Amino acid sequence: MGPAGNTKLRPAWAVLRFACAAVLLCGLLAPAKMAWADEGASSSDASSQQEVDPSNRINPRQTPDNSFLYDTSIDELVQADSSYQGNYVQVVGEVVGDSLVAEEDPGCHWITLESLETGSSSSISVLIDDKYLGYIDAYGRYNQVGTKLQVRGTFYLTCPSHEGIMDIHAESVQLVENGIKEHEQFDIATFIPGIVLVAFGIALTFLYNYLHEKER
Amino acid sequence: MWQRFTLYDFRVIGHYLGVLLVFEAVAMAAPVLVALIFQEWNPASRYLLGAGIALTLGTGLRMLRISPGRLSRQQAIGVTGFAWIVLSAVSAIPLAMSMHYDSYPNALFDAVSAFTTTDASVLVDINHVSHSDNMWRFIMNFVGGVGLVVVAMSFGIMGNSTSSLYSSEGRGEHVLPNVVQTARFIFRFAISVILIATILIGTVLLVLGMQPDRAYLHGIWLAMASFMTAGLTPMATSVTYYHSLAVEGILMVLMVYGGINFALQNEIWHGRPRMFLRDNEVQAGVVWWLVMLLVFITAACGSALANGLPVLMRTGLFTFVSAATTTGFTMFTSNQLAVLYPSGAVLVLALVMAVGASAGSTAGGIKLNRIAIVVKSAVETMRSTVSPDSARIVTNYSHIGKRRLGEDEVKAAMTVLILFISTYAIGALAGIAYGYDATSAITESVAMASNSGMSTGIVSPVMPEGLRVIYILEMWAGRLEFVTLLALACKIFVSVKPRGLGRRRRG
Repeated sequence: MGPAGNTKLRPAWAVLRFACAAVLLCGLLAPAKMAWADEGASSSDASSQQEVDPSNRINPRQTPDNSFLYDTSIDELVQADSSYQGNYVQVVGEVVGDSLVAEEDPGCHWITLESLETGSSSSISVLIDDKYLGYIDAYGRYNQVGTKLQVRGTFYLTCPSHEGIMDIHAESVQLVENGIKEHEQFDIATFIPGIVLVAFGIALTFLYNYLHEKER
Repeated sequence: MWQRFTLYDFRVIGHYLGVLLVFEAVAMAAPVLVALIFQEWNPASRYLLGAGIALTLGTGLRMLRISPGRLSRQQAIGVTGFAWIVLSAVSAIPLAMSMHYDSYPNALFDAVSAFTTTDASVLVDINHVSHSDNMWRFIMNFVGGVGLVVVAMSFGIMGNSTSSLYSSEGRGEHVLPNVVQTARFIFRFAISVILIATILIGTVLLVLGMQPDRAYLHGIWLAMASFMTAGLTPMATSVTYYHSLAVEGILMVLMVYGGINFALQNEIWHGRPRMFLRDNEVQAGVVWWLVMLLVFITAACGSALANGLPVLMRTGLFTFVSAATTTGFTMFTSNQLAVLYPSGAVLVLALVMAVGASAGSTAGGIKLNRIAIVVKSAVETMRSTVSPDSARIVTNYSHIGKRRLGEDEVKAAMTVLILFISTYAIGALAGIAYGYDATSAITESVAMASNSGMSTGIVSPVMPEGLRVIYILEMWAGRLEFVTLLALACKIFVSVKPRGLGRRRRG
């Protein structure tokens, strides 16, 4: 067989090689395509089940959300750092002292809430609407436990409306517990040591004066 | 050569300490009366007991020397030096018996703090303190601010030995030629100012909604605390409790007034304001405060949260005036001071506290007059350096009359300046050694020794015992401006040292 015989077979081999390559390629691609088909089928299923809410898109420029209610204590707020500025907080405390007219906020009063922690004097000023004053039946003083209130509002480490003081602008106030007025009983026995010592001191004074006159 | 105290000296000192204790017993009648009016039976019994202890102890001490005669200068130093700590120790007894102090040392700290008008407090649950306890704390402020000895002299109970006592309490200027007249003037002047201020503040608080009894009680307490440049308040939130521009304005005027020399106030009172305006100390004070206020505002502007104009004008200015007059009222919590203000602004406050206000006033610190004298001396030195050898440099200045700058004034000013700075440094190092940060330790030490009391939070019921003792000593020494106390310490040391010890060593 000469070159003429080979020449007749070349085109056939080329076609055969091409066909094999094509089959091989199809064999490789088919599973992937089937996977896409699956994905295409599942996503289309999901979208058919739930409509996409355009308002539920993530805004990458959004700052941390301050509308989260932070249940905290007065002690913690008094030691707060600047990250607490403007936070919406909830605290419980005892109303102490007095309620004073807010000069710069008509219709509001200032109260002072004291921490309920034993041994703590931490206090914070709270600006409340006048309508909540009726909740307060007693102010914490000597021999008097003040009304306990739960206050929700915006905490300011340095208040821009009130010359930089630390305060809470209350948005809602709830009564937790009424105040207690204690009546101190008069007990003469507690006065006896003092009376005895004062009497002794006065007697000594007379003795001193007598000795002083005698020395003259 | 140090002269020892003899047994006779101790008896005389004991006698006069007894006189002051009897006076304290009478003063305790005020909280007893307040307690009876408001039916605070427990405080009434405590202060009655305290009065009994003071009266018994005082009369017993008086018997050490029935007729003591005239006080020598050395004995006067002993009386003045011991008086502050002895009276504080007895004052602390009824306080310690209340529920507001964990221990007697804490009550003693508060009593010393009140008498020295420092008013850094370790009291617990201040919002529930009785009216009588508060009244006693503010009476201690008043007596300490005017001066224990001055108050006693104004009542004529110190006998003939007045001049040496007056000067040993750190008062160098005579308002009137006679020391007793001076003491009476200061006492009556202070009472008058406090009375007027009480009516003003009480009326404002009444308008704000306080009950009348509380309004005028708070009025008298705030009036005492501000004019005596003490800084004590009956509520935990200090001046911010009142949320009132009017109250803050009145307090600022009173603080500045309390920081002015009583002798100069007498000149104004008698229609001679020119002497006030020409006064070296007043001029130095104006320049110093303006410069430091500018630096403070500039430093505070560095804070993101404290740079608004309303914040600076109201709370910043109030805080500055409170520090400069060594009063110690705060419109910021110690946490706000640490978080909001740059350390530079806090150190500016420490610096103005360190210098203080006018000599012969109720304020503490090194005093503006001494700084002015030191600066004038430095200028004079520079002038003499650049002048020919034959030139004679004389520096005149005006301070309650015309004066010539002499070596004695410069020496006295430099001595006290060095002692103050050393004490600030020692107290600061002690705070640092106990683990506190440097800015807080420095500011706290200055607040104690200058009797301003503007605390950064180190002073608390749980502060270390060693630091409490150091701060008590700082307050005591600062109030007496060191010389009296150091002289007393040296004399006691020499008195207890066995005789012949030095001679044996030399042999």
